[in-house]
Amino acid sequence: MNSGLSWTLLALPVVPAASALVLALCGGALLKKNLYNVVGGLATLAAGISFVLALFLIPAGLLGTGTSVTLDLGSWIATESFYAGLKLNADSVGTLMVLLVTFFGFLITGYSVGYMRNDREQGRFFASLNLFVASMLVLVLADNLVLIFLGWEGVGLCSYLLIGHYWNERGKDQDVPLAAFRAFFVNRIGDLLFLLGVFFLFAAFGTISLSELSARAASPHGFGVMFAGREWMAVLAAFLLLGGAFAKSAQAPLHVWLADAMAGPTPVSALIHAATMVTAGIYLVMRLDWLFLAVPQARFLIAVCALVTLVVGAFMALTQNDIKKILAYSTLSNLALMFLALAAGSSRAAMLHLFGHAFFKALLFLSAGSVIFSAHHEQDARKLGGVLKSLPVTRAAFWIGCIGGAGLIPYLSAGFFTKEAVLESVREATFNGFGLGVSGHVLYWIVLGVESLSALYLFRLLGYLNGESREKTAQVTDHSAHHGAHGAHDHAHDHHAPHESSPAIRLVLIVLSVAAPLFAWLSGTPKLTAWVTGGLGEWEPMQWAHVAPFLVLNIVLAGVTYVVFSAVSRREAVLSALGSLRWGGRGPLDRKFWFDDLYAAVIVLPLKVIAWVLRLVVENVFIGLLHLAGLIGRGASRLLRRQQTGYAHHYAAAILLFLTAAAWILLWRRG
Amino acid sequence: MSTPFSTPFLSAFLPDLALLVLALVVLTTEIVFRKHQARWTARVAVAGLAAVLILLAALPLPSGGVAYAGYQVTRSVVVWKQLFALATLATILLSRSYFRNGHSLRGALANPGAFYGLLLFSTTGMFALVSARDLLTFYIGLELATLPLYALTALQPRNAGSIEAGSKYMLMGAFASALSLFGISFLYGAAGSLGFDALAKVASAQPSLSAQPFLLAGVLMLLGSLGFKLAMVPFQMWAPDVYEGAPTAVTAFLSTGSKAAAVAATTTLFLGPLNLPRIDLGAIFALAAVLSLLAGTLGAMRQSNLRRFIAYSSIAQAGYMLMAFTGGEGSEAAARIALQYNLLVYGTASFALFFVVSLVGRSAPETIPSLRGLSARSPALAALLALSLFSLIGIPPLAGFLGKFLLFAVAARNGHYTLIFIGALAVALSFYYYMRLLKEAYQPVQTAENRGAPASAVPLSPIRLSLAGKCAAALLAILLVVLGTCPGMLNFIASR
Repeated sequence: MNSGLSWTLLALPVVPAASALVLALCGGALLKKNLYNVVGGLATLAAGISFVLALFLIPAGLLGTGTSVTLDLGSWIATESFYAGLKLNADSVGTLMVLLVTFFGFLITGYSVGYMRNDREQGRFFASLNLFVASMLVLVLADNLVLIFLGWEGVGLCSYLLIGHYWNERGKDQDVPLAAFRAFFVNRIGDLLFLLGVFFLFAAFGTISLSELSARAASPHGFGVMFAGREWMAVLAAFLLLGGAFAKSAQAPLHVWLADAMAGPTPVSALIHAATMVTAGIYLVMRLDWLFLAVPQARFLIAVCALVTLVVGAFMALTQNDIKKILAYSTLSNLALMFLALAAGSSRAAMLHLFGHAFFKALLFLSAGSVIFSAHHEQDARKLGGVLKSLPVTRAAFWIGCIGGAGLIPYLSAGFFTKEAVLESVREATFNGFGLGVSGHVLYWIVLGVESLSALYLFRLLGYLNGESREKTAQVTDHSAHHGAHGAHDHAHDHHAPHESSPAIRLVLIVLSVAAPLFAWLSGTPKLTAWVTGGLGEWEPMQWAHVAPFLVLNIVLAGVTYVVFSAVSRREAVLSALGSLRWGGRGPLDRKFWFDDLYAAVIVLPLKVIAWVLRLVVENVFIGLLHLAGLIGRGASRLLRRQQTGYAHHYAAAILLFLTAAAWILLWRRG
Repeated sequence: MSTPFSTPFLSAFLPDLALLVLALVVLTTEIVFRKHQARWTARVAVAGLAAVLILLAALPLPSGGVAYAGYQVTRSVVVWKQLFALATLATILLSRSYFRNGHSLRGALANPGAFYGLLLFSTTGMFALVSARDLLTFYIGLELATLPLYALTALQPRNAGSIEAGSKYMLMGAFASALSLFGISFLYGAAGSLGFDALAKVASAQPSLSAQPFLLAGVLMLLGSLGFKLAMVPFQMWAPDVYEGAPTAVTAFLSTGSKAAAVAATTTLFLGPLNLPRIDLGAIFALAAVLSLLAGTLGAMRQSNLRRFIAYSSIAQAGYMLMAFTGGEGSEAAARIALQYNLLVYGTASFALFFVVSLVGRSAPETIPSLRGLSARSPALAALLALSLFSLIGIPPLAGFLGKFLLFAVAARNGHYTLIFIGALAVALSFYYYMRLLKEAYQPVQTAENRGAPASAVPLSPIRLSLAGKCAAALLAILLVVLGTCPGMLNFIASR
């Protein structure tokens, strides 16, 4: 039953995992011998092999409608009442995700060879990166929720490790270990909810195998049988699983970690915090779509949270000055778009936008990384005025990324048709739950309005980077301060004029700059789209009449923004005019919509109080009990040693004594 | 009905025959090989055992097993035999270095032919023990498995400890043999036959116990004899003395192979023909389990001698395994799988421990303080020690966790929750004594000097592993992790 093709499913995660193991064990030794490229090369090779293997899945997993590639390795945990198999499965959704993960994993690992080339701790970096790819593949290939949880935890761990990669760099504007910890902590909350959700799902249905669950849901009287008497469990499971998905995919109120996660190296932000890992929550909801279709309240909650995230992300992106933070908040609002599509019940639109977003956001992050690398880790857009003018390849990539992200030009911007699909799905749907009801049309107009902000924030950034420079000398004085921190930088740079970075970075940028418009063209071809997302519902032809006015509006918005922000004088005039709107630094934008304050009050403070009380109890009661137990144990041990006399006749006597006692017990108990 | 020369019976019987021939051949190698006797003998023994293992794995067996007269082979029996053969193989690999000078403070072993030969005879005895279908074969197997061990324990004639241990072991062993012979004769009296089938028929037909004092006396005496082999309380008292005195490799075999044989024998009898619902032996086993846990735990707490420590640890582990016999009716298959899995896991962890002990023991006495600074001397070895100890405690995801879980699950079937609670308590306490070893291994040496411990006794030269040693360490570590993370292995064992 396991054909040769099936085994590629096993090889997919095993190859990068093996490479991660090798790098973790020998990475340090290789770096000591100055074999820097070997470390990065091995990691890239492993990710590349995975990508090539993933290509083999296309014919069976994607093109054959309704078929999938399966590998069953028998049982993993088997007891009388609980069963979890080692089964991997690539249906059309799984194959798409595998292609996405391996493609971007491969490209970005290759990019990192250039980006990290002066880093002394590359072994750790590339090991974590490979382990991430392996875990993510386990997550998307797993056929049961426990195995998914393994990948889920794995990507969380790698995310933590990689955010904290620059852990020992003090004196920068953010605390790296704290950022990593925050990401981990918020994700732990999500993991707990996820796990509880799995427990309740198991309690409700008695299985955790995805294929069994969805097969039962698909059978004619599936739901009646499935939910009989256990509706509340299924509803609770849906909400709990949603909590896990929200934490992983950074949706309000569990979104606070994503902006901090930008403390990690830029390729990590591109791979983990834009293209792949943060989509795990969306993937999960997509996998359990039968559950969420049956629980409309859960879909309503998705819509509410996603809407909040959409607004928060878009507005926060407007006011940030850190390049990566702008992109991170933009990621928030794009993830919210995918969730909105899911809330509308359209996995197809969510999947399409997942891909579109991956393309343009990875491109944006990687070009931002190229800028940051060339400018010696300066990330403040205001200090990087005009930096793109000396970086031709990066400039082209950045333009393509911005146009893609803002969805300006059909068939060229990766985000155009995908956002369109999301909007259409929202418009068609109605959202009901908790006694409330919202028509999709209302939501459609809100989303459309908020989405046009993406043209604003992206072209504001582009205006900074591609426009006039405010202080030509600022870069030199500024980046010299960071030199100590980053260790062995390549000092071959000309400090005055940043120039194009390493060939690996340029190559990857070029590949993605070609791939993103290619995807845009594909996504605009209905037949291709229907074919690619074949397992996920019907394709409805796009209605240009709905779109055209907004397209024009967005283009105008983008153009105006770019013109304003590319010139210093205009920029400052506008900013000073807007300054009065900011409530003296206490407005929602400066306080990040008060989410941090909320966390401090609701989670951090109670935890501190509990910890304080527990400490009192432990120090005063438990330590005393432990001392007592120790005294008793010591006394008993001494007694026992005394009867270990070393005389054989004592030993024999003890045996006879026991046998007599045993006989007496048996006879006495029997009467 | 099989005849002695039918193909299925021969093929099932072949591994046992091969092992017997191997034991005889190994005895003679001292005559054949003049030079490098120890090395060649070990090679012959290893190759032979590997062949036996392959035979065990490869030979086809009808699903119901085959039986002839007093001998039977079933799938479960084959699993037991594989366990014994593996333990013997590991013991031989461990013992090789003890034949070289300067590899132990107690002096090198001599007479490799006798050493390996006796070891293989003992294994042959174990094979016969688990294949027995009547009490006579059972007794012969039991004696053949035990007798060589007395000699092996006393194999270092210049070492007073070895002699004392050997004589004490033999004295207690004779006592146990007497018990089992008496028990068998009583059972014969009760059943009128030595066959297991007849015994089971008679035993299950008894209306009440007081009507059958013979049966009760026989069962209790056999229990005493097997308790001695198991080192279950209160038959355990020989164990610390013998473990301390015997050569290290023999101690390793006693605590793994011999213990596995004892468990297998107890399973054969008390989950077989003597599984008597009317006689509530579960209570006796539960009592013995509690006592063993108590004695093992308390004894191990304050030991500084590593061998005595291992003896007490193995008494406590026997306590856990005794829990499998409290499950009552219907739990036989689960108990057997739990025990087989546990012995495999416990044996792996034990050999990892002995591997570390044997390397540390080259230049220092085999005491817990000698482990000090191990992490600096060899990080890999310290990590292996940590894995093995964590598995012995039963920390997930290592194999020991699942082993303990399965045993507790069997006890839970019959509602022995107090016993499970005591078992869990013993696990918590075992943290303390196992962690003492790890604390020493990872303690920086300066602290030791500050405390005024005899730091000079601890040579801090790095420990270098040979290639074979590295492979062995890696294999043990992988086994400890894989057995725990892939419980699907269980089904594999069960389906064999």
